[in-house]
Amino acid sequence: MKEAFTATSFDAPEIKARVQRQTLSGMIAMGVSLGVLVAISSMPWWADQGLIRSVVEISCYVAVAQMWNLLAGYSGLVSVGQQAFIGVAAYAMFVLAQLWGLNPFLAVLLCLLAPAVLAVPTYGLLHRLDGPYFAIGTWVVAEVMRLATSTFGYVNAGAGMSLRVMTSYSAEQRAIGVSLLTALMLLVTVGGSFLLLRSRYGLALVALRDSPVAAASQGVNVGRLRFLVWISAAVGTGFAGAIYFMAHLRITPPAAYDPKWANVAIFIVMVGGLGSLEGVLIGTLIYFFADRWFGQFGAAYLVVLGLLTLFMALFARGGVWGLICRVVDAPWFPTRRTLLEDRP
Amino acid sequence: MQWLDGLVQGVLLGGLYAQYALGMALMFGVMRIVNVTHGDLMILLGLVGISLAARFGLGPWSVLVILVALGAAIGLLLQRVILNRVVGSDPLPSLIATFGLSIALQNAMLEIWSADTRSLDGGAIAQASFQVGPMFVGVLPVIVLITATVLTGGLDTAVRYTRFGRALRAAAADVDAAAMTGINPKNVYAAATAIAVAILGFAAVFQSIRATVSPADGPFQLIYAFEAVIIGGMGSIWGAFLGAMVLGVSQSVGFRINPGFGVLAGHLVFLIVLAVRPQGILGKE
Amino acid sequence: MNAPLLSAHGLVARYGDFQALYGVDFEIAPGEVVALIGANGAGKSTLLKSIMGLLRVAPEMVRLDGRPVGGAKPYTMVASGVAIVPEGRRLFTGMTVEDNLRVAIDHARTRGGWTLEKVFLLFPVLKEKQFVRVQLLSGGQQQMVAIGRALLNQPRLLLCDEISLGLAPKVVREIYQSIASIAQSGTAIVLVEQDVGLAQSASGRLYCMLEGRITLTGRSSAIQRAAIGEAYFGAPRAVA
Repeated sequence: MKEAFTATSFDAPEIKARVQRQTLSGMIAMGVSLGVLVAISSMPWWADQGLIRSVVEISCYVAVAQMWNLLAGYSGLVSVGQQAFIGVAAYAMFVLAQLWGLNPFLAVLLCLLAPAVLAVPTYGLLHRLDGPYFAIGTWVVAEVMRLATSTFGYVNAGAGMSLRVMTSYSAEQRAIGVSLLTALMLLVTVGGSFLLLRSRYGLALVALRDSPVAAASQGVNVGRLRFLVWISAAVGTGFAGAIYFMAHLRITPPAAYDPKWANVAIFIVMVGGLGSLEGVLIGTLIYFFADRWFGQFGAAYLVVLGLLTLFMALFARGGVWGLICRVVDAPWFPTRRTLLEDRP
Repeated sequence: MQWLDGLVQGVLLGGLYAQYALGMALMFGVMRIVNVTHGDLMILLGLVGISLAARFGLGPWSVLVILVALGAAIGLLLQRVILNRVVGSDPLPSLIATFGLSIALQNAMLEIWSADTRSLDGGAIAQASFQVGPMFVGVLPVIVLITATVLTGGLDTAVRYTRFGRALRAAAADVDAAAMTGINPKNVYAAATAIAVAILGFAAVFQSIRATVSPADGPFQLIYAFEAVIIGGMGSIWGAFLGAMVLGVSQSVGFRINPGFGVLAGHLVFLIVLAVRPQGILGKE
Repeated sequence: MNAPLLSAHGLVARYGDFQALYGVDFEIAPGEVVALIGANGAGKSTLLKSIMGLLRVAPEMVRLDGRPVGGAKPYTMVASGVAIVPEGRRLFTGMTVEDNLRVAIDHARTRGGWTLEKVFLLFPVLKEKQFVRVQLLSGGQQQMVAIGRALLNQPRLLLCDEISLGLAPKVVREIYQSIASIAQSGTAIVLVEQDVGLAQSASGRLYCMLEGRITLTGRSSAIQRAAIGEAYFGAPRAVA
């Protein structure tokens, strides 16, 4: 115990390392994604009306689900009232195009101001509420929007509005407009999410998801990041809403603010896989085909959907994609950074 | 005159809402879980009660006893099978699980009972009213209010002064420390959920008599319960009662301004309270 | 010793992937006071948690009255006669001193023995503060409530996890005087302590731990400081 500890220096071998971000599966998926976007943009030239409508519908589900995923899977903000943004964007679009005479396709982009504006006070009011109470609070906001719109004479209250200005465009022009907007929406929502998650904000989000306290101690501005994600999700969701109702040509308050949007988003994300982009795509496909094949059974089919969501929440929180991941490690949208050593 | 009537009717409506809110306040206080099926369970009990009354010719009081007991049983089952798996610091699983269950339940009820609205025959009580000054006040709403007050007082007293109440508060404060002091948290949780749903049995009977129930009504009752708890202040049982009164009066007054405005008025008051005093009227800072 | 009250055999414990205890052997006889010392992270609290059922371990690794109880739920351990004064006190905030104590009485293993009055005799200041909410008390007073709460479970074995932490020396002395009284009433006590001198003077036997293993054990009065130093910090290791 008498000898003092002497410091000795030693030569540590220098390690050359690099960070690998792309994987083979990721590159394949990137190619496929670009192909899909091109295909969607070009739909008017090779697809019929029915197919276009289906693709637009699926794309809207993907967008809304992915936005919900960003909120719940990464920011810890669980919302059951995203339909508020769908409705407000869609109605803003109808007002701009039908009542104010703007170019409808431009209106889809300009109307996004509405959900952004709604998102601010909503967050301000609700963010101090505990998790589950925050969720129901979002539902109340959606209900307020629905009720207020139902009594708002300017937008024809409960009777709803029709997008008659679209008749001034040919069927082909409408198809082109919808297809391009849909492709843009997917690029912005899914592509944008991917870029976000790969960036340092993505790292911050994952840290936030794992432990808000630890993340804050590492310099992540938790409050501001959550707020920015909330607004972005609202805008992305609104984008889908505007496109959906433009394609439908008709809007009413109960349809615009239908809780079904929340149900679908939750189902898709929970079944597909929370916290993963791949999960959203898988979940949407599952939902879409289940709806096509079993929707005819009405309420009974919805009972199964509800129970499936319950089951996933209890026993398989990673969803289908989570189960796949246990077997194979081949992400389509790689966001991890792998440290590799360059051995001489 | 209109306003006084609106106030009185609002307080009586509040008595009903208090019965929704008590259970929610209890479950959230102890487990930090919001049971999204809270409203749907009330509807389920209501529909079962109506069917039983029709099938066996039961009067409303017999139905009440059955539904309260059934509610307790359902609560126990719900806790043991589902909620015990999702209690914890992460709010997401319990929210999504009960959300999925809510969808399943609503649609199952739709399949079984169809979308028709139904109500329970309250007999003579439902029609009776008595005169208070210049107004006529229904007997049933007063019974509802008295029931709500007794339930709230009883629950509050139990939580403050009984062995069970202490166990509840201890588990709510620190569940691990509660276990270390000899409390079995699962038993506490089961009792809380059982009580919460049993109280819904009262609400189910009253709602079925005074108005109608149909499978899709659940979410609205959930929202009213939630608003009442927030307005009154989380963590307070009398707060839930008070919040329910405020909500009831807001809706009632709003309804008298414009029949389409009633529910919206309640929502707006809720949002205002959230903006101005987020901890609620009786809530602690 | 004959039939220990509680014993641990080759106790292994993990927090997820991290192994905290590597085969710990430990025993305490009825009425004994045993100290458990070691640096931060040595595994002392982990050992107590494993005994109390706060950590899952294999059943045979912990025995009470010879019966395997490893991994039993904490409330089961309370019913069997073990109580803990946990690290960080873990009082029920928002509730009064009296209510905190009454919870323990409500769920005590048996009647008699410790009562509210006896706890107030042991810690007179608590009688004054009976109706005060616990979060408003000083650190020392909170520690007293935590000890009182554990006592009111009528334990045969009291586990004390770092009860001197963060307290002024005068308060620590008061608390350790109460420990001596408790020991006199026949309750076995395990004292987890970082203060070696305090641990030695308060206990009959002690164990020293380092990195999840027992490195030293023996009668408290007989162990030399030098031996403790080595067992506490580990033998000096070469660096280069």
